Amino acid sequence: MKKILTITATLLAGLALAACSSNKSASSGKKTVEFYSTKQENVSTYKGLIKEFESKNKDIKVKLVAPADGGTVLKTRLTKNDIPDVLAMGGDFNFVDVTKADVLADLSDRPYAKRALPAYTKMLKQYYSGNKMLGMPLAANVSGVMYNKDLFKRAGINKTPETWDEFIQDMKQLQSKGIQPLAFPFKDSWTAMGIWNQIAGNELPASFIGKRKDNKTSFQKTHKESAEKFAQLLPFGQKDIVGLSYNDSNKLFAQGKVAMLINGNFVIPELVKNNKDINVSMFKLPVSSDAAKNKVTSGVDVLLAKSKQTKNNAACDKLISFLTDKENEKKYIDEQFALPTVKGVEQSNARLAGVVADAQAGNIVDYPDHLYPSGFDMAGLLQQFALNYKDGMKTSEIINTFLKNADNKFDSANVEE
Amino acid sequence: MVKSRSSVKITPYLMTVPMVVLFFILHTYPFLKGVFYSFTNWRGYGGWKFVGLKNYLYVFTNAEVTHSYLFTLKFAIFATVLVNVLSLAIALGLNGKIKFKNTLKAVYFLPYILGTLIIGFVFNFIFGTILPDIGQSLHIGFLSENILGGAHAWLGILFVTVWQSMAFNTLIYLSGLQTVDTEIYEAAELDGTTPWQRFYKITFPLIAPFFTINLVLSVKNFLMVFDQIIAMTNGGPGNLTTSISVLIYKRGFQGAQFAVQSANAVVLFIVIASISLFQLRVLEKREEKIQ
Repeated sequence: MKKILTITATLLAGLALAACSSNKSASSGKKTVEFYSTKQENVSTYKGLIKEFESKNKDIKVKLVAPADGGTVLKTRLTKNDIPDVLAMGGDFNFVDVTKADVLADLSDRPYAKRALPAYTKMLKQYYSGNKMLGMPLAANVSGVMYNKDLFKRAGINKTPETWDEFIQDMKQLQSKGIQPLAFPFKDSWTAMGIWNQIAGNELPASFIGKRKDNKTSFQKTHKESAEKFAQLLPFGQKDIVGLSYNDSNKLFAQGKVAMLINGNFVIPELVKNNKDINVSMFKLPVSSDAAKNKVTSGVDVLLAKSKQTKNNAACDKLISFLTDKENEKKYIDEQFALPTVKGVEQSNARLAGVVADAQAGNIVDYPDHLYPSGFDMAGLLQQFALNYKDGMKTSEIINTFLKNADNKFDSANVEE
Repeated sequence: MVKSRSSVKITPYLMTVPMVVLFFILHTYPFLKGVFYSFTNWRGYGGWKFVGLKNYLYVFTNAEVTHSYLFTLKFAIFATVLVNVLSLAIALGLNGKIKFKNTLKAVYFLPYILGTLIIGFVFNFIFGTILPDIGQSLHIGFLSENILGGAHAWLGILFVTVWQSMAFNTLIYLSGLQTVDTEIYEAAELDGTTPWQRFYKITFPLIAPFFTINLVLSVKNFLMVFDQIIAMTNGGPGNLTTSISVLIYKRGFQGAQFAVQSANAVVLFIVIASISLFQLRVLEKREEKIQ
């Protein structure tokens, strides 16, 4: 009995000591700014930039926090009203949730606010009401078609397609030369969104979701054409259409066994990892048959936001200003293979050449699923779509089932508020 | 009987009380909290208010939830029957006089030691790459495609689950068989019984308690099937293999429906508890009859 007491006492003492030591660091003379990132892929870039920032601002210490599943961790911190000083997060449903909690400062009067490309700041403003600027975009991602230039040349295609009909025509051309035009990694259902977002984003205005939430419109009334275009692509993929995983499709492309993948710019590093000589480039998915109407699907991959309650307001502003100045923005997008969201900075990587110009000119549409309710599993519906196609169901029936299910599932996900 | 003094009685408490406290803090308390939140509209963060039975109404009327219950029941029934029939057969074999008994035992127990996620990923590769390659070169239609990407994806998951779960049930049956006195068999053999009669009339009744525990545990485990599905199909294609646990996880945590899915979890708890109690009553009655 005595022994147990001793052990317990020792354990408690240890805990108390640990608690003391964690409080200590706050008492040094420097101001500490907590920089919270919901992404982990770009931590090495942040570390380099922060080191430079700290050497220029000796009185500020930046504490970088980037936990796994950062979006969820951030939400649990919101419940305790424990907001990091500076937030770096995606312009997605997590950001929508944070803006609803009303904890972010308005940045529109800050000097760095003017640096941002207007198309992206406008996009972020759709996520909340009011004319504030709650997020300063740092980097954008972009969707499109990754294509193997060598295979295109072998099939005698010299120019990337600019309309839907040209796109279909080119795929037939590839097929006639014995080249598989597309691979669909639908085993991982999220990849279907890479296609759907581009089609629906171009076909429908962003205001659709707001109207749908108020039950003023429906998928059945508006998304028939988008679904038809999705269906038109399926015959150009592999036969076992739901059996291929994301990694396996990347391997197929890297081995030159398939000419195109439809997804985002983040796929390219994976392709290069599999085959460093792969001759890959990107073009936007030409959804419309009018070339002038086609837009690039691009969203804010990282935005910087500032807490309303921060004690080190000036230091936070300094950090955001530092990260979004031209030189550091360039460093970020080069290392992370991203698109710039700051005026006067260019992504010159040849592999992105086909989509960069449109994005730079603001000729962009947002990912529709950024505004979907978070429990709405559109990816699963598209996977079912592909499975029905594989099982030989009639196209019109597939589309009707899909649209009806989309409406049902939207209603069952849209329970809150 | 001498009245036991308090100093004698303290040892069992010392052994059980810490466990009870831990169990309450880490298991019972969160569960009660979940029950509490199932009557609110909490999203997992932010404020909340009471909404009465609205979440339960949603659970009972939602087509997605119904589908996942049907799928889970189908899966649990098939898995329970297969696992128990096969593991009993293996246990009988391993209990006989055969060579390499210990090696075989190790082989059958191996899947249990491996983590379910690892097994899931291994079979992902087997179903996704190895089997289709074999199927294509041999021109076998159903093998040449990834089974996890088709309408019968659940059969792939069932196969892996049965293969892995057999190990533990075999072990329990084996220890049950070792409690049976061999003299009974010798006597039965002298009476001229067939092996099937010996199994049906002697072995099976004598290991009845082990059968009970295996059946109850299997049904409970398979109604809560989660890891295998997450590792192999993530509930797809579509929502064909979305079990109740997978649905609770996906909608509750990723879909900000924490309160609704808490209600779903409470319903699942009630379902499993009542099935288990029912099984225990029926099977224990059977045990009593035999005794």
